Amino acid sequence: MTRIESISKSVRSISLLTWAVAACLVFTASATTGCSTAGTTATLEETPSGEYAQYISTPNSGLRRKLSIESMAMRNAGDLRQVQAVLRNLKNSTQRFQYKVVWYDASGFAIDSESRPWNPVTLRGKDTFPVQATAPRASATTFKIHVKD
Amino acid sequence: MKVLVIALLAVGFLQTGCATPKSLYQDPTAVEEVGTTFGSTDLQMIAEKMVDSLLSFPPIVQETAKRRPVMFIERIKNKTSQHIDTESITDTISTKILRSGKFRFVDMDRINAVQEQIAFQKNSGMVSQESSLATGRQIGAEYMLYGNMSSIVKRNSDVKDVYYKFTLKLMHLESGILEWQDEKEIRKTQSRRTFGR
Repeated sequence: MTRIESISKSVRSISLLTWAVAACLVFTASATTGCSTAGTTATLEETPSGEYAQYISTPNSGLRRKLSIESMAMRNAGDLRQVQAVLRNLKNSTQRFQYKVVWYDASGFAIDSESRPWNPVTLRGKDTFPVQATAPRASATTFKIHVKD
Repeated sequence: MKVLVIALLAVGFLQTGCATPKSLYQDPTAVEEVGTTFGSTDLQMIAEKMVDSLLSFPPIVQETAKRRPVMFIERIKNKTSQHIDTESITDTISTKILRSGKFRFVDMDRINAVQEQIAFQKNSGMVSQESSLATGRQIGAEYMLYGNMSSIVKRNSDVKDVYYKFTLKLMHLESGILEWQDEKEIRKTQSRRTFGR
């Protein structure tokens, strides 16, 4: 008996029920894994010099591969600062992520950080999304845009 | 027999683990996607959008550049079929506006309490008149903030789609002019899963 014949004989000897149970377990495990939340966070910061570098800072390189900052702009509405960062989905598939903009005063204290909500976004493949925010107070001088999936 | 005992023990441990409720503190600003009914994330997104829009609107920026106008919040009309605590939405909005330092508020819900306190100070005989409040000196509101919440619900055998629209307006009371208006739209869908929960 050749090796192939031996293997096929062993396979046929395993009952159909056993194969069905194994298939269900594999499917359940993969479905559960696919539904789990990664929860990684990327922080986009304004550089100290005031220029806006297009980068994503994240401990998880997976998010860096999915999103990039295409452009960033700042302006003033009276004495309140406004920011717009255009994010692009680098993947062909739709990406779902959340973002939050936290503002800081000149002393580095976060302003009303606990009340800034996470905003959910669904971004189609290769599409862009403008993240916009207005400072909650005139004392806000810098910001951080947090992104997570 | 040994296998059966181990299996029964395993089932027992699993049941115990699943039956014990576990309480945890969670981030109040985290996105919640529990159904299509109005939730905390919707409230927070609405408040953030409305306040950002109001404070950055050029005529409002001009008006608040050198002074802090006084406003009051009228009730938000709930035109949806759900029970929504619209006062919770206006509380969050007024908190953000107040903390911006751009506007001041008068609280129309506390008028009776204020009148009772003034009457107590003036008439009870228990308060020295030198320290009692002077009447007729409250600041009148110049603006009124009001709006409404509506929804459109559509469903078939597989999908339920709920669209919310929140509209907020700022009226100058003396002239009747609508100085600012904006709206926030939210769409939530719930679809039936083929497998699992």
